[in-house]
Amino acid sequence: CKKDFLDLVPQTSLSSASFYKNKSEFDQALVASYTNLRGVAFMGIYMDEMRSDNTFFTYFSADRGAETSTEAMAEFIDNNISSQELNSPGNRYGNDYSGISKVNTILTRLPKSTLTQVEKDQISGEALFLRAFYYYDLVQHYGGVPLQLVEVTDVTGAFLPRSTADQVYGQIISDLNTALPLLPVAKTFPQTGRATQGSAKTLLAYAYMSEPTKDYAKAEAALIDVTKMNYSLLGNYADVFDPNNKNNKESIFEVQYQQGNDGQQSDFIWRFIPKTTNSQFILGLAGSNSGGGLGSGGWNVPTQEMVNSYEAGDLRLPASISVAEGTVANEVLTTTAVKSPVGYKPTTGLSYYYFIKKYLHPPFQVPFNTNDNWPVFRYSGALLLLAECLVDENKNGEALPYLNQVRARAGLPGLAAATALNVSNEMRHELAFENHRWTDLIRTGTAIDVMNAKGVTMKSLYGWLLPITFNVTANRLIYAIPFREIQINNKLTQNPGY
Amino acid sequence: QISVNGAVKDSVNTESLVGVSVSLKGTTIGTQTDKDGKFKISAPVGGILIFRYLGYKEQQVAVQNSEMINIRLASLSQGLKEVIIVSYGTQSKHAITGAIAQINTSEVKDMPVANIGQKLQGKLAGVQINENSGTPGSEMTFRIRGAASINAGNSPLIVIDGFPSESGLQTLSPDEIESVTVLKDAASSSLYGSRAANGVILVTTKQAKVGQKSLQFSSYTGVQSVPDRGKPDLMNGEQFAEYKKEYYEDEAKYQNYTGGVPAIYQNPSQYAGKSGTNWFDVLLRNALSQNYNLAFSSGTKDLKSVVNINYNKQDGVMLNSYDQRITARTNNIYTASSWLTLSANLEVSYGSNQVVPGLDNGRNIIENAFLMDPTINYKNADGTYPLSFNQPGMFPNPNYYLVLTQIVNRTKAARVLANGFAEAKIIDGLKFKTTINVNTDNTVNREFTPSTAQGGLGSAPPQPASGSYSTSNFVTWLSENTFNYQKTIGGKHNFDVLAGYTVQKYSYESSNIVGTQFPDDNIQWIDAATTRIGNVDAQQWSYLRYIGRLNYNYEEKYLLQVAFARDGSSKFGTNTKYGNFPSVSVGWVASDEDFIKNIKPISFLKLRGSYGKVGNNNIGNYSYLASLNTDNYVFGNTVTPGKSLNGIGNSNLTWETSISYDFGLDLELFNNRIAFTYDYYWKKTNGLLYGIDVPIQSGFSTITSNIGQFNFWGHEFTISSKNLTGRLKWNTNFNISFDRNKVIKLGTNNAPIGGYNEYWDDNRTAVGHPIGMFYGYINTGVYMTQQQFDTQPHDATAMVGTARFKDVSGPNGVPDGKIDSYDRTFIGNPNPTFIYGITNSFSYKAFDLSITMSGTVGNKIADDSFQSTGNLDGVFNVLKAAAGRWRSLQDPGDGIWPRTQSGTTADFRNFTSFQVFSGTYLAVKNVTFGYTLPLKKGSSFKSLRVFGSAQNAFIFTKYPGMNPEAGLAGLNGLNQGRDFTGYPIPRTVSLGVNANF
Repeated sequence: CKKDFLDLVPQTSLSSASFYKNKSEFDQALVASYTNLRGVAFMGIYMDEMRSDNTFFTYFSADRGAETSTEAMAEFIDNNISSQELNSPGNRYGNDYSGISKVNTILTRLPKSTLTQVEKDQISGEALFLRAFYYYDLVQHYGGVPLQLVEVTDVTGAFLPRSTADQVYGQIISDLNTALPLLPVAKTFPQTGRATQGSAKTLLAYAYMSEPTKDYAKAEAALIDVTKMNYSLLGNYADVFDPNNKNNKESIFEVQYQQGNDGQQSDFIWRFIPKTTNSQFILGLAGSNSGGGLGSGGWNVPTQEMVNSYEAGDLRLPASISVAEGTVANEVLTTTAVKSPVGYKPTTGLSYYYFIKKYLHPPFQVPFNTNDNWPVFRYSGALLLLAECLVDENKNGEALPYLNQVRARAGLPGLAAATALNVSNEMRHELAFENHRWTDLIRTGTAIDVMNAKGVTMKSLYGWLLPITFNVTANRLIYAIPFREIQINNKLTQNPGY
Repeated sequence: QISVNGAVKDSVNTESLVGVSVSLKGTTIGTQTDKDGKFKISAPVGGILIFRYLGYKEQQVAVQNSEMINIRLASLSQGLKEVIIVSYGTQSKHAITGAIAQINTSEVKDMPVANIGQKLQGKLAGVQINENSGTPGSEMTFRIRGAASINAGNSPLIVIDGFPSESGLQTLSPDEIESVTVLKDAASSSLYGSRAANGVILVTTKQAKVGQKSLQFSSYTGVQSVPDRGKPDLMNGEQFAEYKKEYYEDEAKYQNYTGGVPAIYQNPSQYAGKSGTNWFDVLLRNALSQNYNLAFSSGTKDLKSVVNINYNKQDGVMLNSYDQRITARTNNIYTASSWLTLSANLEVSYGSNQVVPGLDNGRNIIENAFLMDPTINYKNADGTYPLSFNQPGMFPNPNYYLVLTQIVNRTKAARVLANGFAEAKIIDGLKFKTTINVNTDNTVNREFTPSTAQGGLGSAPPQPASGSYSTSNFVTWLSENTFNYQKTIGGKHNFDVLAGYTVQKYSYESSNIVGTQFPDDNIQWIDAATTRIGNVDAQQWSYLRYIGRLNYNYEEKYLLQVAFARDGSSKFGTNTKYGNFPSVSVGWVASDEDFIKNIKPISFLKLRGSYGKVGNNNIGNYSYLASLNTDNYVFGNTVTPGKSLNGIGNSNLTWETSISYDFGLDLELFNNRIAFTYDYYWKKTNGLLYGIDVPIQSGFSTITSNIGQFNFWGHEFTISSKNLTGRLKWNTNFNISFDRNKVIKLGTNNAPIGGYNEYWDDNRTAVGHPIGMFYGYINTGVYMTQQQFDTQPHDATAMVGTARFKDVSGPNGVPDGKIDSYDRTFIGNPNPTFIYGITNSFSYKAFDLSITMSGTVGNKIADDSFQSTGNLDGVFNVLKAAAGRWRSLQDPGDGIWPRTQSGTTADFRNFTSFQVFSGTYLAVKNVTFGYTLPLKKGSSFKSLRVFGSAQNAFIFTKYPGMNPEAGLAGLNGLNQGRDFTGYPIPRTVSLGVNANF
């Protein structure tokens, strides 16, 4: 027999030994590093938006299974075990590290490759941005996490201890500063969806403003740079989210989706509308979203307080929220009307549910298969972040034009002065349901008060909320490190309170 | 005619044999030996006398003159003649030095089963065989000497006529099998080196014998039904309506619920006297099982040939399921010349199978169905069927009757198993043998789920139909070339040397096309689907092996065997492709020593000892390599190709090895009336192949690696006894095995395997404990009063009336007054204390009766369906006992079942000690009663026998579930003992006939 009789390699896929050689292969590896952004967007719905005062969920009594741990996050009774449930902190934690590992593999192998310096720069610029993005997601939700910075090739490389939050922010800032000169500035619109200098500067500003020792001057500088790039606000708020305008002039960074059979679709709106017997009334397409579980409707439902909080005349309210009206049997809505929340008066004898409208762009061809991108950084958000930064630096006067620029587009009159509160409120409505609210509340130091207030309201509305719910303390500002990780890696310590 | 006198004695101990049948060949003349073993018979000179005696070899003697005829009958059980199939050859039982058990299928005939595995249950010491599922066509699970691996499985290697084929036992008809041999210790299996760690099962098919000419027909027809014992004890319509009514009343009382009790539950008494729908029984039926077998064989000196044709059909006891199989086999041996022998075995089989996917194990069709509201009906009064149900506070559901009866899942498989060899005698004692073996399988599967059956828990039809069409095929070939040299020196030194080289390769290809968005249900093939997505896969592995074995004995009294295999496998990295597997075993036939020969009761005594090393390479074909997954993304509205690693490669990945010792004793007493075998084994499995859990911070959750160590040890006893040998004959075979194991070392930080999730992750394998222990909370009842709740440890969501747990530990290893994840602990051992089997066979005149029983003692079973049947959220039907739940301080219930308060109920149904039950059982596996018809002279039959047989006749156990052999992961140690609503095991009552022409 021939000597190579025993040398068999997979015929239907490539192996790591033969990959990571040429430009095309590194390009493919880089493309794959973006896919974990989708997990961040998806999990943010339940872990960021629904944990904030913007939304809650519609109780479905049949559904008391694994989804109760998703509810637990909104009720602040999540624990270290919740981390093993579906769509949990564990998932977010693993997803971020999966993205980081893809980047680390690229960055570890790139220097040894034969690519030209120009090619290497293009790839490492985007890769470093993504690593910073995933670490920023981790440090915000879990505190100081282990800093994995090279490809893990054996067991021992996977057992690093936690770094401090400072160290993680330090790495984020360092990665972004290395990436910045390598990244292009967005020049032509629509953009492709790849990371740019604008995305990196915006993330850099967020990092400077969120780290334990905040550096407003550097954040301000980064954001001022962003205002000098080619971004501008679209005329109409609702147009920003239209899939026909993906990656538009206002978009700094967004998560890409595409409907069809390629597995690239989004499905947010199917989860946001109420559980309904006739989804075609709202979506124009029949499909079941009433079975229970995360693949159902009734999640991320705007609270009445959120609806009430919009100023009169704010064009963003009807662009962001709708009301579905109808009859409810077995906790499932048979929709008879979809109405604007502006001045909405409930119809006697009918039930109604608010739902997020931002991601509703029919027609759809297949259930749970939509074309909507998820916005991550938008120019209006960068302007408001700049305003927040300036207010924090006591430059309230300089902040005002940025604040009023965003208000004007929303059809609201200019304010006379910028304050921490009115900047924060503006950001709440401008970036509503884009997974920013929870971390914004933490950054501005208002999370504990706001969430305890929400708890009082919710408990007065819903008798099924246990007494233990909404006990929001400083420990609750980050999630538990997933239980599995603590058990496997005895170098890890759990966050206090979990 | 002359009068012939004589005496019959045992050939070894020369005791007189009483009741030996003596007959004159070709006549009805016959007699029996008397109490002194003497006989007297009239016979012509030249006539042939036939001596027959149970347990002894038949002997024929020609009558020469009227002199005394003294006959020495050789006992079958101890005879040097009895041949045991071993790896790469045969050996006399006398000379065996390893731990080997063999069963001839003639001992287990007439059992109405389609799989040889069912016939072997309870027959072999140290071999646990479980019927985990009643799914037609499903395999039995085997576990030899408690074998366990983490990832590499614990199924023994199945070798059919010397060929480690891939098709499995299910392809073979039990009727074509001659014997099954189990190689238990490393010394006897080490020639299969890299695949022998879980033991080896050698299956030998029937060959014709010289002088044989026969035509046999046998058949049985049986009716299968599911016994009522162990079916879930759920509420009936009235009880459930009452429970739901109270559920809403309590919700109003405690949770400000204002919706009122839904109309259908307001008046539970309307359902009184009607049992409501028993959703389990709706899906069941009595099903037919049938088998027809025709065999003819002819043996001459030059050509021995046998043909066996079998048809077996088993309808499933769940609706819309069956498995049928046609097998045709021919085995031929041609003695071409004094130096050349040729052989060809060919088996062709065709099977077709329909079983709705997802019936077995899990919260699937069966469980979802019996969790339905019993007040609703699966069938309308007008004979039509409702498509879906949506009861208040419950999930939308399809009509599971339609789901089960309408889903198409047809599998057709055509298989070929062929062996041929040529054996040449080169010089006296030296033979060369070359074999070629081929096994191929072509499987086609078509699925279709019509819109009316689409959906499941939480998603009700109609939804667009879906379907798939998939094909797979494999071919594996094996070429073996061996030299064998046998030589006796000086009449006392016997040598037998084997050396060989073998090559095997396996190639597999499959394709799968999934069709969705069917416009309607009219066309059930995916041509009609609007969207079709296809995938293919290809896999290969190969082995190169060098084997050698030396057998030496001195006067067949002092025995030695040394064996060695060097295996190379494509499954490992370049540095570690080859492994060496040596073994040595010794034996001493003490009964051949003069000082024991004189001890009259001992007819045979042998002591054995062995040591050996074997391996396990049962991992993915390319596990040492990290390969790349497609991982696309969208840029500029265009799908852009992306790729990412699917894991962390490990180029040092290598064999999992087991080193084992075995000490055995074979003892036969009282003229072989009692045979006794004992074995002690000790086994250490090292470098377990496992995807060890690594922190997810690496980007991956596991790295396939060689880690850890398991130790196994145990005792096995087998006793065969001829209790009565007169006209009423009674034989008993009893075996019992005590298997133990312990986890010595696991991966980095010794992180335990399993038991991380709060339910449906019941087993934990942790250092210092037996493998696969149940791990969960200890349920101590209910917080009955506010005082209890205030003073006892509880968790965050607990309140008065919720389930109570033991405070086992805290983060610092001591109880901390709180119930949380630190209070999960080991709550049961699914490993049996011992397993045993007993077979009694009786015969009296033309009647025969055999009863086979088997069981386990001391193991625990986890009821995974309790997660649902103990769900107090009002979403499922629940156990009747839920009526005793806590409702208020004034109505606190039985102290076992907690309240229905939203958000508090999960604790109770999470995996706790409440769901762990004793799995001790005794099953009467089979009872067969036969009658051999008296035949008139000149009848066209040589013999004719009719029989009745009951399979899975009775089961005695305290386990409340249906099947104490249930196991969603079979006998896999890591996930053993979990009963999660398997396909029910039927009881089969059958009638059959055996005819010889």
